[in-house]
Amino acid sequence: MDSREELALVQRAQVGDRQAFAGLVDVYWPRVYRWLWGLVSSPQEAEDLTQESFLRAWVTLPSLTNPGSFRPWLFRIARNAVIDGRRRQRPPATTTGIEAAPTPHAGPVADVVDREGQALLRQACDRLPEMYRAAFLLWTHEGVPYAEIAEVLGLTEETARWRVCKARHLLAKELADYLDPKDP
Amino acid sequence: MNCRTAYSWVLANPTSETPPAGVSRHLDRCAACERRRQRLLGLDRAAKSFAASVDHSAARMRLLELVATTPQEQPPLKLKPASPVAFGWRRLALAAAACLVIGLALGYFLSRRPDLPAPVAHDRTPSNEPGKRTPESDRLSRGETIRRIVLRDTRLAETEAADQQARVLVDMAEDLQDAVIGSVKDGATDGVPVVTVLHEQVVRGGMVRAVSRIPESRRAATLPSLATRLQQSAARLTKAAETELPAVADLLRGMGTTCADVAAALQQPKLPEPSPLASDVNRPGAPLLATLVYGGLRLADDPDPLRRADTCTDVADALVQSIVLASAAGDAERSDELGKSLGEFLDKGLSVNLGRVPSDLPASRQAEFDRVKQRAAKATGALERNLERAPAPAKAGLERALEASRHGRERAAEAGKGKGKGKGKKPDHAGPKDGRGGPPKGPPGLEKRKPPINDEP
Repeated sequence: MDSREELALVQRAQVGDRQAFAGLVDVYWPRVYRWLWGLVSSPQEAEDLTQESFLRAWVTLPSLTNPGSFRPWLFRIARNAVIDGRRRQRPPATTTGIEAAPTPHAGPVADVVDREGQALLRQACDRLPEMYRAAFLLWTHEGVPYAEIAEVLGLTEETARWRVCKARHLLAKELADYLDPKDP
Repeated sequence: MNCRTAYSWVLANPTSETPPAGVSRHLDRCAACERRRQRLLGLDRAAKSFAASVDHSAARMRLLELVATTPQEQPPLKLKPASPVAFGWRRLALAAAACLVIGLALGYFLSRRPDLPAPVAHDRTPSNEPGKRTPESDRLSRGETIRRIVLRDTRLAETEAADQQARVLVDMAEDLQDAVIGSVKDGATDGVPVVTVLHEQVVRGGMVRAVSRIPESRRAATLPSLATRLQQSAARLTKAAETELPAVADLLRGMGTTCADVAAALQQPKLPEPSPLASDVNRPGAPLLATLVYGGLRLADDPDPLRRADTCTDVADALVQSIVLASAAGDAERSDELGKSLGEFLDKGLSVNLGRVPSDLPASRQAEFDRVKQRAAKATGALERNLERAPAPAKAGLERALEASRHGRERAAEAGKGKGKGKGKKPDHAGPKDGRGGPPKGPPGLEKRKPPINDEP
């Protein structure tokens, strides 16, 4: 969906068009879920938070003053849902069921991305401090620019950039043996 | 270029991005940095491949079911965020100086402008009796807008005559124009785009559909006055746009164009094609103003009293929700205002249509009637149920709303009994009233109707 189509859906949903909102759910559910799953490490909790985020988005959508900034606004709602959800203090479930999707541009290092690699990366991500993880996943999964990450997480752009860099550095260091087994 | 600089660039930028020349040269020469870059490349690919094989269709369905029954929060049209400012003497002096400058500039500016035309006067008092608009009507508050729209809905629920419906819809359009002009003048533009969409639906959609249902013999008496009012609206909106910023001016001019287009089209031999009614905006979940406007449009479009009663319960549900929210916020005045509007609507809208439902309703529609009665009972009892559970700060507002709406709620509860043996009129099985020009409709119960949201897969 291009940005014009999305803008039209957002504007229609703002006046109560439920079908338009369902279209936005179709586009953004997997993306929000994936990010939340990276933050809470429990698929069930991520699903609950995703649902909660979209419901909140529906309720407050008329107050979105700039329909063009729907994406960061939605992710900010999701982030707030995580913060609120912390109070429920669900024990984190083990992460299972991860499937490695085929990578489109395989290279020498990318050849080793497999199930084990996914699990290792997942575990390493889970060990990242959440503030780095949140920024990193937005940058990696969504390709969100730093300014938008800053908007979602309530930071300055420079801080958002620093957190992404820090996350990448820590993960690359932690997974060095796996990513580059021939490195002495 | 040293390793630290090169690595900093690589960390901060996607691995898919081409490095600048200096970084690229360093990576060509430095095996360690190139290795780090490759690690990041692998990391990015692995992270992008995070996927979950969980099927979310059930969760999405639950979400959409919740959305169907959850109202949207409507942003206030008049938005004046209170910013707590420490009010020192220096600020007071600056504020006074600013006022002086602005006042002088305004005086200079006004002295050079031509006289503005007098406000247009036409039939717009709440009872629809002839009257003049006051200058204050250009400063309609959001509460006032809601009150007026509910009054229009009440009139649309009461009347079945297409020419009266068309006039009421032009009244509704003018209420929306007043709301927009007032908001823009107050500097609160957040809700303006929503209202312009509603205005479009009312003028190009509902009003044109109502006009098409006016019998040929009565059009000559009705259309010219409607066209005149729309032309006056167009002029007013165009004038209001002149003093606004471009983005807002475009919205106002757009509304003016809508009025001018339809006014011109009404004077042609062939009536214009109406805009279709937007889908899925007729259930709790839309902002209050949108629910009220679309409720009014559906009331105007539909001749069937049972479906009209169903629409009335949608409107009543939305008003009850707003009363509960206002009470929870401690706004007893607003609860009271909304309660009065609710009471009048239940009295003259819901109960009248329930009363018109024939006593010899076909068996095929009995389930529908029972459902509508249940919904009406739920709507009329909702405030009392909320009062039972309300915390102390919210009770005052709910009690005022209950009192203000008492008569209407009682009438609506009574009208649900005996299938409308009160003032009900028998439906015209020979055909629609007012020579409606739309698609032919059969006897009640057999007309095609867009299924309610609950019936959708």
